This record gives sequence, C-alpha cells and structure tokens, in this order.
Amino acid sequence: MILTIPMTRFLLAAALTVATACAPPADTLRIATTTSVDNSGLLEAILPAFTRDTGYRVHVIATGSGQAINLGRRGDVAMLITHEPIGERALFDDGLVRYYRKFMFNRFVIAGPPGDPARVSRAASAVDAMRRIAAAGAPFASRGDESGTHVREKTLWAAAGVRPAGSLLIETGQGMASTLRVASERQSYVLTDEATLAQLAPVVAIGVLFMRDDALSNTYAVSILTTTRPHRSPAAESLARWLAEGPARDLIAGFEAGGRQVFFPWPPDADTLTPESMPGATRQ
Amino acid sequence: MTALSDALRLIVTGDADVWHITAVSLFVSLAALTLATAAGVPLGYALAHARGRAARSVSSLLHTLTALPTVVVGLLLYFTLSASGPLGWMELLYTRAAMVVGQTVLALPIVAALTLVAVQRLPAAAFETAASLGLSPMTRLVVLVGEARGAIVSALLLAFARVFTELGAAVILGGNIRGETRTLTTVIALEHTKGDDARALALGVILLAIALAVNTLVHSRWVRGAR
Amino acid sequence: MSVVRARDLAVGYDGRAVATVAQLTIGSGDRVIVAGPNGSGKTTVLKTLARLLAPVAGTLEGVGAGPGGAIYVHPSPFLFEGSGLDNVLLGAHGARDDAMQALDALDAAPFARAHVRTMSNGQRQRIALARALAARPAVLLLDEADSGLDGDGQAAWRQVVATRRDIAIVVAAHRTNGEVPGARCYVLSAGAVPVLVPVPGALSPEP
Repeated sequence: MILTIPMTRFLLAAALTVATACAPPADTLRIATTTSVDNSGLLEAILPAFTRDTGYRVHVIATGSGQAINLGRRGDVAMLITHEPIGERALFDDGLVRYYRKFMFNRFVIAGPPGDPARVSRAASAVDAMRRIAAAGAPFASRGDESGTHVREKTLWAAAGVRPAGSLLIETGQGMASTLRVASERQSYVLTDEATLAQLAPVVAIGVLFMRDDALSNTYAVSILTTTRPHRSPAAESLARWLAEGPARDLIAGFEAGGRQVFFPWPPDADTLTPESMPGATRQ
Repeated sequence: MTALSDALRLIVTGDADVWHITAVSLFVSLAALTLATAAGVPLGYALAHARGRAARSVSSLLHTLTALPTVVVGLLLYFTLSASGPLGWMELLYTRAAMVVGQTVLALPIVAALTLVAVQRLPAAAFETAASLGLSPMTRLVVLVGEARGAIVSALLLAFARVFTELGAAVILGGNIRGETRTLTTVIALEHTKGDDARALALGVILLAIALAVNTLVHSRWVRGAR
Repeated sequence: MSVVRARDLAVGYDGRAVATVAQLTIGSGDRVIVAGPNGSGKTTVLKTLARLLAPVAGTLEGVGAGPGGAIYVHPSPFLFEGSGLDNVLLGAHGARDDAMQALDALDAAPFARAHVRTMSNGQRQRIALARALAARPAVLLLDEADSGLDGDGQAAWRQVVATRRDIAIVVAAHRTNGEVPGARCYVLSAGAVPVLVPVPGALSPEP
C-alpha cells in the first residue's frame, strides 16, 4: 500500500554504502603527479612492482604541475612527482621540503609540420629554433596551462627574446595530447615531450624536428613535504626511495613508448638535490 | 569508423577496466541517490506543510539549487574536504565517499523540490482524511508520500540521471584515480585528452545506454501507471 | 454526556465567516441531520465540528479529531492506495480486531482485500465508513457520505445507525430524509451568512 522500503532500512543501506567507501586504509599512498607523466603510462607500468615489493597501493592523482604542488602544500597528497623547478624552489624557500631527489629526466622536442617552413631542423640550439619559428611567422601551439611543458616553453621564448605575434600563438589551455592534435590540425610547431608525441604519432601530422639540447631536458624530482601526515610517512618514504635510489631505475630505463626509451634514470654522479640542476651537472 | 568498432569490441569482450569503471559510476550515483532520498523526501514533505515567509523562501531556494553548476559544487566541497580545510581530518578527499557527498549535494535539491511539488498536488481530501483519522505524523508521512509515489519516483529517476552523467563534481572530488575513483564521465574526458578514442567511445556508449534507459523509465507506463 | 458543544460559533476560512451556529449540543449516541441547499456551508460546519478547520469566532468544545473523537467522511471519500483492508486498518491504527469488526458492520469483508481502484462507488463508500468506524469515533460527521451506498450498503448502514448508540452521527444532507430515523433536524437558513437553526419539534420520520 505504501512505500515498499521502510525508512529505516533505507537509511541503514545508505549508511553502509557510504561507510564502505570511506577513507583509504593505511597501506595506500596518495601521490600527485603531472598529466604528462601519467599519460605516458610510465607509472602504470612500474608501480605494480612497487606494490609487489612493499604491499603499498599507490593512488595517483594526475593534474597540472601547479595544482600538483598545491595539493602537496595543502597536504592532500603524501608525495609529489614534479618537473617544475620554479615551483620546487618555492617549496624549498617556504621550508616545506623534508625529502627531495631528482630521479629521472626525459626530453622535450620541437615538433612541426613535415615541410618545416621555419627551417627548425637546421637550428643550432633550442633557443635558435624558437627564434626561427617567430621570425618565419609560423604558428605555434602552446599548452598555455602553466604546466611544466608550458613553463619550459616560456623560458625558451624569453631566452630567444621573441614570441609569435598575436593569434599565431595558439594557446589550448589543455593537456599535451589535445595540444598535439591542435598542432596537427593547424600544422603548427609545438614543444612536446617525446613520449606523448610517440604515442600519438599514428594520428597526428607533425613530427620531431629538433631535439638534443640540454635546454630541452625535462628533469623529474620526487619530494615529500612537511605536510605529509605522520601515518602516511612510511609509505611515502618507501616509494620515494624506491624511485630515487632503488629498483625503479632499471624499470624506468626499460619503459618504452612508440618503441623507444623516453625516460632516463638520473645519472648516478649528477646533482640530485637542486631543483634547477640538469642531468649533466655533477654534484658539488 | 574503426573507433566505433573498437569501442563495441571493448564492451562485448568484457574489458575488465571498462566494467570496473561502470561499476564505480553506478555505485557512487546509487549511493548518492539513496542518501538524497532519505534526506530529501522528508524535507520536501515537511516543506509542503509549512506556511509562512520562511517556508516559501526555502522552497524557492530549493528550486534554485536544482540548477547548481556541478563544478561549483565540486570546488566548494574540495575546499571543505581538503586536508587544510575544515573537514580535512576525515580524509575523504579523492575517495569514492567524497564523490558520493558531491553527488548527494547535487541530487538532494531535485528530490526535495519535486517531492514538495508532488505532495502539494495531492487532493486536500487526502490531507483531511489523514488528519481526521488522527494518524501519527510518521504514518501520515508514509501514507501521503505513498500517495504521491509516482511523481516522487520520477523525481528520483531524474535525480539519478543528473548525477550519473555529471562530470564536474566527480573529477574534482575524486581525482580520477586509476582503479579507485574513475567513472564513466571522468574517464571519457580523460581518455579523449589522452588520445584514446576507442576507449572514450566505448564508455560513451555505455553511459548513453544507461542514461537513456533511466530516462525511458521515467516516461514508461510502469511509472506513469503508478501515479 | 455531550461530545460536541457549540455556541455562537462562526465557521469559515481565513477569518471570514460563511455560516454560523447559534447553539448546538450533540450528546453521545445522538442523531443529527444538518440540511440546507448547496453552498450554504454544510461542509464548512461539519469540518469545523470535526476540528479540520479552526473556528472563525465563538465557542466550540468537545472531542478532537482522531480515534475516540470526531471523524469526518468526505462526500466522495478519499481512499488511500492499497486494499480496502489496508484503509480500514489505517483507521483502526493497526488494531486488526477493530478493523474486522468495522468491515463486518458494513458487510464489506467479502471484498475488503481487493485493491480500492477495482471497487465500485458503493463499495468505496462502504470501505470509507468502515474505516471511520474502525477508529471508534465518539461522533461521525458524514458529508452526504451515505448517499452513494448501494443496496447492501444501505441496509448495513441502517443497521449501524440503529444499533451503535455509542456513536453520535451527524449527517449533512440536502433535505431531511428518512435515512437517519429519529434524528434531530437542523437547517441552514438562507442569507449571506446562513445560520444553523433547529427545526423545532421535528424528528426525522421513521421509515
């Protein structure tokens, strides 16, 4: 005659549903990283080994570099993987860093249309390549989202002393894959990481035109901040060391995208403690 | 259309990832709907009886809240549940529970507002009979809500459709964590930006199928016949 | 022992009177007919006596709404979704014995388990009356609710009226008729605000 489910049973069911979904157990670890790392598939490939070795399950939140660092500052994640020297330096300046190690790098490349109207493939350096693009009045697709890639791009424009005029600079405000699609549609140049370009190679009409310049090294650091809750610290330290000092090195080197190695473990004798350092800089 | 055929293959072969994502979506939205019903139906019922300026204000507030932008709800709850926010100690952020909370906030106004309307539409004789027989307040609620159950069930289905297909709150509060908080909508958005169109399409087909099924149910004779 | 006492009672809505009752006392077991043309305020008077409406002015004392008190039955009674038995059980507040007794009194037990939407009008009215009876009222206020009864129903209802001297019955009707033998008759006079006056010395005729 009336509602078939009495109110009390409803509420009980509701309470149980929420209860079963609550805070993660102590053997899980939440980390923040950037979308480019996550998109490359590297973490998905190597983290299961960590879980097998230690029993900790890792929850990965992938967002832009800026937001990842924010999550760290707020204490919403226990560990960070970032490639954003300026943001990382700010964390040091604010006294928030408990543990910090550079542990790998990959490479940015400058990609563009097959015709290469700006003759980027003949450039002497990355900065020179960017200067040629601006001078030739060629379009350039930018992520425009304050990500690590975007910050590097801005650094290069600053070093070159020029930028594409007005609407020639196409700011997508989106991730690397979307930006590459746009670059392909508009036949424009773009600064990208090797891995994403390799993954999208079948569906985009642009290719690598310039690489191999230290200025295009993209270095990754793992950091644990003072905001990490004490009961999460053991798990965070375990993962941080595993990445920076342990078995991860071989796994990182063995990871391939598009048939090539795209991530390189940090050279053993290079400085690991300075946000701005490049792979070639040795320890002081 | 290779993407479409890849999509269908993913569905038919029971790709574990796809079905886990579907399960998470259904779990979160059903839990949110349960909570929204438990709180919203009595709230709508109570407001149907209330008189006066305060009651009218709450009613129009409720109707306005049914159109809350999902990202705004997500953002506000994010700052509340964040470790540095007032409810950070609950460690809810980036869990399915946080997504349930967000979707409950979205569904509750719909359930309450439509229950309010449904109960108000009952004939005066229903209220008078209940009053004259001297039914207890709880019995009165159960009986009158039962009288309006056709319209209320429609309201629940609409609320479900809204939260099941939303993206903003789910992605901000859940963090789109692989194996944990990925839902149909968050993964469609993610896979598209990653370039995996086959997976995005597969999930889109499933999402569409469920949303259409729910909406068809709203207008079906089964529900209409119960009014 | 009186169950309802009204004096200078003005009845209406939102503070506006639509009818008045100069003086009315209903005792336990009384039979009263309230007659008057359509729109004269019979329903308003009955609903006020049943405590469904607040009086506009004047004095009203006696039982309240609910079990053991005043029960009002609509002209076209509202039955809740479910079976006839479900409805009567509601009136009995779950007491199965009271419910079955009330159904038997209206001779409605045979069809009580059917869903209300399958019932004829006459059956619906019988269920509604049984539901009211099951609440053990002190006074029943029927707004022409006995008018739609079928043959069997009328017979059963006449039996109830004749034997249940523990219940006062007030019936609103268009005219005084023989349905409630021995009832005192009151009439709502014509006018802008009709007044309920007794028809002196008149007792509803025996059948």
